[in-house]
Amino acid sequence: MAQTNPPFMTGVPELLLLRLLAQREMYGYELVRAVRLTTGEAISLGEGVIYPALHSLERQGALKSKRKAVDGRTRVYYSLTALGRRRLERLQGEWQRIQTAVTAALENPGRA
Amino acid sequence: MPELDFVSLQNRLVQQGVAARYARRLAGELAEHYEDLRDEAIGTGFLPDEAACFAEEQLGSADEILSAVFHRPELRSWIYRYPRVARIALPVAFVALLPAVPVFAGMNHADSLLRWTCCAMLSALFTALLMLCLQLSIALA
Repeated sequence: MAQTNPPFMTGVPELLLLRLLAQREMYGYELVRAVRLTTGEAISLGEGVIYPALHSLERQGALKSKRKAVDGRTRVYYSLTALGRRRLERLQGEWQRIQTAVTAALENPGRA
Repeated sequence: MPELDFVSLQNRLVQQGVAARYARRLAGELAEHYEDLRDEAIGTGFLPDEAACFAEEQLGSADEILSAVFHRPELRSWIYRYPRVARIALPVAFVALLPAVPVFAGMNHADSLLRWTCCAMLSALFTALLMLCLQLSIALA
């Protein structure tokens, strides 16, 4: 059974999805594979629950989607909008700030 | 997950206040994802039944998917997100649209409506002529 992601992962799937879609447009199945590959399988998103996350981002204007017929199948490809790029920049900045702070706290716990 | 389950999932989403159009789209994308997983498993040497089980396990249970949707209120229909607005807007919209119903019905049954209108106008004209004759006979008597 796959290891479950820790509870402090809130917001991380969204950041990963936006980051991957900033490179190129992808469909859901491709995205799940890309998350696994780029994180070395350290983070695995529930394959079925990725779609509500994508649809929510689309509803908020961060993503746009279009249907494409590929190899006899209809795929829904997602790509980033200008709003999504701004959101990605903001989330990346926040993530790096928190990562720096947590790393500092873990390395020097007695500084406080 | 058998294909029929996607229909059941779609129905459950609609029953829980998710817009039908969105529920249909989600079920469609999940079904495509399931097909991809199954094909991938068959490609790596799984038997068809094993591949179906693998795909089902990877995709997650219907309850997990439903829970993920319900944790995002923006995916629910506006009637569920703004029930107070819906309680006011829907009756008002219904009353506003009510007069338009005969128009739409008329557009669908234009021939019958034209015949009915001609008959009504002829009968009104006949009645008016009768009334005129009566008035004239009273006036000239």
